[in-house]
Amino acid sequence: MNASRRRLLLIVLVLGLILTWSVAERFGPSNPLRDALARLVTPLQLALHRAGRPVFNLTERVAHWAHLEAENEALRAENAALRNQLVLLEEARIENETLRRQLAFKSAVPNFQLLSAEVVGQDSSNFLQFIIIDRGAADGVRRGMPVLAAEGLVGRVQEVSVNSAKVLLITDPSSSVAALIQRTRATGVVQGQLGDDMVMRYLSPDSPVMPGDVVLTSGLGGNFPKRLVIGKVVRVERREVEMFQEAIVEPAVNLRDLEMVMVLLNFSPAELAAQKGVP
Amino acid sequence: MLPIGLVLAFLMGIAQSSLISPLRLGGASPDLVLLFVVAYVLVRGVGEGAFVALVGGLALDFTSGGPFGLSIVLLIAVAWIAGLGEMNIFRTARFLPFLAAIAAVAAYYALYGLALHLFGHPLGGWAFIWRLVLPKILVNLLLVPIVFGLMRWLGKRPAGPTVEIP
Repeated sequence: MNASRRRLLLIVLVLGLILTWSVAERFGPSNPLRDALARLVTPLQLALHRAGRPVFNLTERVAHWAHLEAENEALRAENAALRNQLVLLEEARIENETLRRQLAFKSAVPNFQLLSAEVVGQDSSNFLQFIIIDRGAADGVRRGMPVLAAEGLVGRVQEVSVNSAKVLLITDPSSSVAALIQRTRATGVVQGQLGDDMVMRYLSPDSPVMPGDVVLTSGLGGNFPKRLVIGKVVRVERREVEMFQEAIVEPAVNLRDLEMVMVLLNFSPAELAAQKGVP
Repeated sequence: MLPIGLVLAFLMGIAQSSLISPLRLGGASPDLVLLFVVAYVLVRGVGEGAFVALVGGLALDFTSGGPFGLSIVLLIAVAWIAGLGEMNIFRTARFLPFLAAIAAVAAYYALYGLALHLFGHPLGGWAFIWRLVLPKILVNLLLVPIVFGLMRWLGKRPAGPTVEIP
């Protein structure tokens, strides 16, 4: 094949592929091309991810004694669970007070229906903070569903194929989560940024936010349930000329080393309900 | 050689997402497919390399949250740029793979960032250059001897039996 024919074939292939993919995206709730590719790729990703795990663990083990590592792991898990319980208890106390004052009662603890999923891949560009999980439309996963770990919020489902889904992490610059500071009840929006931390914007300048404050989802906007732990404040930035103050927030979940997550199945984000015309 | 290159590019794309991305140094993970495409072009020419870029880009786009087609188009663009220094020079100049890798990573991520910006994805200003592109270049340089070594080895392998069609 001569060079000009080869070039023409390449152009036709690229344009054809992108065009077909774009049309297939509008085909229905799930792209059939992506589904076909996912059936081939997801088992391969899972196998490779599992095969690579001992290598990742080995690099960690170099720095730790074997027994100390196990003990440390157990203590960390216990600590995370206790911290989460403490946050929930504090939430319950504050909520109790509010409800008593209003002489009304509403159960605020939602009955979460959670689906466990294994992380099989990450976005390789480093520009975008995505993970790929091994659960998809066949398991009831839908676009917009929140994704959690035991320690707190991970992100939300952005794209679904038949047996896998892409999850936009809360640390991605395009992610925004309506949030509140647990201690002061000050509200704002937590946005991702380049790197591992996030920034909480639109905080009232009068709110006494401090490092160590726990940041929770506020539920405003209806895209995430209330009272999921997002992270904690590590630094507060106040500028004289600005109308708001900002807080740098460290995620509660170590998003780089995620292996298992949970998809919240019985939560319909307001954004999607609005698109479907659900009141 | 081309079928092997296509299969390798696809497998590397999948491995990049599941096996390579968690291995981060200074916050950056290596770009196996990008380096493989550059090495392929330098050894085999842009004619074949562009198709390897297409398949590698397809695997990357499938495993990425970015717009579909972006990695395909950018990898082909990088293949064409790398094609400027292909074949004979590569075999003699030992430093060329390193220069090619630096140029490829810088061009790929500059264009990637620009494209994401045009698609409305916030990048957080120019900070992405030193927080993302520079660590990427350094990490990828570590991988150059392995990927280019593999490509040299593949290039030297004797060709399989051929059948003449009358």
